[in-house]
Amino acid sequence: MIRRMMRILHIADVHLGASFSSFGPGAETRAEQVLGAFRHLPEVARGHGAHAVLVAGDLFDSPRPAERYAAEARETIRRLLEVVPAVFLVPGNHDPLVFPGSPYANLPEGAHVFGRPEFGDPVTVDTEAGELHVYGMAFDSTQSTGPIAGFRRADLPGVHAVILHGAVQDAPHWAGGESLRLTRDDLAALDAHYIALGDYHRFRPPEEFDKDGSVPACYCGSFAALDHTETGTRGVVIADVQPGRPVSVSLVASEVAPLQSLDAVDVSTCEDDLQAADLVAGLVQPGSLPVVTLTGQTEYAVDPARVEAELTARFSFAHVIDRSRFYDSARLGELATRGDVIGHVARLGLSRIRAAQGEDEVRLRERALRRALRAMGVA
Amino acid sequence: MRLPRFRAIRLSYGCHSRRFDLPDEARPVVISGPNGSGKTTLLEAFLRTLYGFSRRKPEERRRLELRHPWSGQPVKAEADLVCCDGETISVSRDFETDEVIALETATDVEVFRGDGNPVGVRSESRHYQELVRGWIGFALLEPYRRTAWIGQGELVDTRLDDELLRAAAGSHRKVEAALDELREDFDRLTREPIELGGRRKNRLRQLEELRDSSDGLAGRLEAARSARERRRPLRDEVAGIRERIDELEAQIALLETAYRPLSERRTLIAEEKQAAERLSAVSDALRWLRDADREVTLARAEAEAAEAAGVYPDDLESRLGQARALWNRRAELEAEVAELSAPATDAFGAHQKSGPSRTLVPAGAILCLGSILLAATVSSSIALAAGAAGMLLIAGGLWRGRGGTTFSNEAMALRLGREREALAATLSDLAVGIPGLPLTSETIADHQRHYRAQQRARAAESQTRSLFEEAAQRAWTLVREAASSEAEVPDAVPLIRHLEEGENEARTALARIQLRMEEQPAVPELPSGVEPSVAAVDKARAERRTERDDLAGSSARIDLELRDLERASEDALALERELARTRDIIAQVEADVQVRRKAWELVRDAYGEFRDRDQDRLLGAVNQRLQRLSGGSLGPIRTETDLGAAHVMLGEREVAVDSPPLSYGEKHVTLLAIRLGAADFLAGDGVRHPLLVDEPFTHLDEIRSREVWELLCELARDRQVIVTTQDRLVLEHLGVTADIELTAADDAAEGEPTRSLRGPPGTPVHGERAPESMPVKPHPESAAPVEDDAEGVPSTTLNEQAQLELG
Repeated sequence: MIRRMMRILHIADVHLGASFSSFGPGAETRAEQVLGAFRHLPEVARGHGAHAVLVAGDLFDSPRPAERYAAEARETIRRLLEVVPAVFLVPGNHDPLVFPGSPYANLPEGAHVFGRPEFGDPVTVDTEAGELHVYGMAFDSTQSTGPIAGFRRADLPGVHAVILHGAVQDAPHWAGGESLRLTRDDLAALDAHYIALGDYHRFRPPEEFDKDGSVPACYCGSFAALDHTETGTRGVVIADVQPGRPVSVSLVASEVAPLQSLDAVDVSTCEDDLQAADLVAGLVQPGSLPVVTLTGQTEYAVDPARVEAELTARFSFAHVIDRSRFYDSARLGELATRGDVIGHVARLGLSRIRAAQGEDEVRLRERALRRALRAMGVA
Repeated sequence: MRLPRFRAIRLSYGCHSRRFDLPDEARPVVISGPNGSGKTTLLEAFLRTLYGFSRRKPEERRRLELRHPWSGQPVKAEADLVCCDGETISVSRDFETDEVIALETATDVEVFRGDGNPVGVRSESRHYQELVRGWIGFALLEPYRRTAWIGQGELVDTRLDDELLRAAAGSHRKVEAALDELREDFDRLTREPIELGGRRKNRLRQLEELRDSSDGLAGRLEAARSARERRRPLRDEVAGIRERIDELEAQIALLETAYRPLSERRTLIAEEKQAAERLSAVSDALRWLRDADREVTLARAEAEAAEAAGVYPDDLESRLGQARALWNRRAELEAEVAELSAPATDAFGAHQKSGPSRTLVPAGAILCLGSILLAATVSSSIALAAGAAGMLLIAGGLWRGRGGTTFSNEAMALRLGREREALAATLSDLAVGIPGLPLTSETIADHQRHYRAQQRARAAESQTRSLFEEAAQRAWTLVREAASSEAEVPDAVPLIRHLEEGENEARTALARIQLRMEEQPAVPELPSGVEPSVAAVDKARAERRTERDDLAGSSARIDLELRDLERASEDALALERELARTRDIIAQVEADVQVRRKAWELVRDAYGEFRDRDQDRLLGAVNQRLQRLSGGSLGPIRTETDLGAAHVMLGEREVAVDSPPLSYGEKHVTLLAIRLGAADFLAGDGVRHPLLVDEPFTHLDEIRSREVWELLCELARDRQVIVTTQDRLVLEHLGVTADIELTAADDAAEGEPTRSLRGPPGTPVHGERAPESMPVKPHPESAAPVEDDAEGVPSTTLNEQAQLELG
């Protein structure tokens, strides 16, 4: 008997044990931050009054993570179970169950791992908001055949939720890989009140699947950015589910510093890399890490590595993409008028850039010119 | 722009044993003095202090000899120099040992002490050379002499040798450093050569290591995928096996379900058969018993019927035989009696008499034998009578044979009578016990027939009884257990009753079995090809169990293989990610390699372009100076090779630089232009070396002297220019006061500076007494000033218009 709206904490793609190699020297710190934020999950669940927790795969970054991460996960789930009556998990494509020593083994009682490669009967848990029937499966490309076809919703009162880890049509990795692939029709056919999805690292609320709300699916995205491509808020989804009503979801940021995308920072006015770094730093929100694309016509040869190093020194991580242009600058024109070797370098470099075919070749030759001038001592 | 300059020099060198200080102003420093006052020596001392003398060359050694002070003191000099980087250092050289000590004057820190041999190859010497290069722009004296040193009337070799061109390249050292930096940067990334045709390095670098790593990852990924692909058919196989096992299990269960009713049915059928057989046996036994009983009854009736007239004795046949014999004897007796009573002769009387006697003996023997037989079988009395009759017959025969003729007929008749009586008695005895008709020769056949009939009836009765007993025995065997009796076979009636009961029981048992059979559950539908029989089901079940066990074994083996594969296989996704990341890094490194190669090629090519125009730029610089110095009357200078073979345009004529058509003044201007142009050319490296000009006004008229002076003043605005001249008139004409004025007498005076302090208003007074440590008494020979360097380079002819291209 449903007494009130059921609140589900939906999390996926935590990737415990990931190397975070994109964060360079800060990788280890990043990994610790992610682990620390994951440890606070019980507090998050308590704070939001969650009735159940659904983990939609890739809790771990590999099928055999270091024991430390498996132990931390067990402990966190144990504490979660003090807050909610059940934690439901499916393995993902990063942490499948096919290997011996799976970290999903030996989880505390009350944590249910859907380990079969096809749907079975739901696992029912009685929550304060009524009965919750959860369906899930551990997709295995070598075993799962027509996995959705095996889904049968039980004729039981309460909330029916499905956990899946896979690519839904239009996701970037839809076309390839061996992940579970689903169409919107597949999702609609599940006839569930909530479909907790994992695998896609961007938050994708139900409205993105179908505007009329007929597909109550949601990607919660990665728990924390794994590399510089995962900008924006990351965390967990709080989903309010009640049969007969549209699902309401909200993304709750994790405590891990998000990556702030600064798509086009014009550094035309900067005279050196330090100024460029200052300019970018002024745009970074507190607690965020910059992922910046430098643009504009500069009067000096931007060294993105130096700008990145400068920003990294300030923020612990930064990723700089250089799209600025130097070869049309007055400074380079002036250099090209010189009669010395530098003048020759500038002139020849410019002529080669102008003869280049395609943007990539132009960029490559400009990089070469910048590098040559830097080697020649031209700032 | 770097502007090294000399600030002072303290000498124990040639005719100079004193210190000279130079003004730090943006104008030429003028050293004046008469011929032989040591102007050129002083000018030379600035450079020799830095560079020393090459002891390998005789002329250099000779020149050093000439620089020995008259005092016999060792040749020493100490120059104060503002370096390219603005620091001030003091460089002192002991020309005897070539030891150099360099101190930073601001801090008094020694920056070098050691071998300052200009041609030394030791690292110390090379280090010093590099220091000198850093201080003033040139590491060696020679390029300095050929450019920023403008000797009196000389055109030192202006060929563009590599050292000069390197210097003239402006950023040449930067170019080399840049190329080195880019190459090193490139070499850190890859083992491939940065330039075409270069040698590939042995050790793997970042790119190759990444590629190796990528290849390794790709191989591991392939193996992991292969393992995964191998798992797929194995899983399919296992799934198929399990499906088949399930199917077999179902069939086995079905067969086992079917087995019980089939087994029970088989048991019932057996029981039914057994019951039927028992029923049949009992029924048969009953029937047989009844038949036998009936047969016995019939046989007994027949026997009784046959014996109705009486029962023949068992020895009837014997008796009948004896009777026949007796009857025959009686007939013979009768015949004998008749013969006796009616004698008759015949031709064979003897034989007639003797005939009966001959038959008596055999008849008697038969009777005896018969009596024995009878005695053994029937009756002893009959046997005794028969025996007696036989004995009589034998005796009568024997008697008649021996002497019958002697008996009389009466006796014969008597005897025959007695014999007839004996026969009759015997016959009578034989007839005793024979029922029915009297025993006669006429009835004997009847008696024999009756007797045989009686015998047959008895035999039949006996046989039927025997059969009955046999049947009874068999029947009793059937029912004895049911009768719970081990007793003898009962009589027919109870036995039949038992059998009837047994038959009823068997029939009831059969009926019960048949009822149970009817009540048996139906046998389920069996797998295809399996007959609904216990044997077939049993066989099918056994076959399926065998197949199931075999499949289970196969499944277990495949499971093991799968586990091995899973254990051996790696996480393909992690490998994919690692491979993708590695390939991304490879792409970045390859791009970096490309950038560095292109950057390196850019610098190399740009430098090549720059170098290709060295001659043009040099000629351009020279002609610029010539234009200025000659007021346009000379020039441009042209050359196809080097400046030593240059030609200069003189009006419309192109003449060699050292050719007669040029006046001394024109030649001097031309040579001066060449040297100043070369100095300008060298200034491209960003270092404005101190320009040392010896006697620039020689052979020049007033106008050209002024033009030269103005040019030197112009040059002195952005570099130090030190000028020597002996021409006081020109100085006066120009209104110039010498900064250092030398006189031969002053120079000869120990420790006394000789100088002119004349100059423009505010011109500081320079020069001071040499310190005590610097003996200044000149050596008579070495004190002789060297005005001209005998080893000057041949003059050149400048005759070609150069194109100025300084950007």
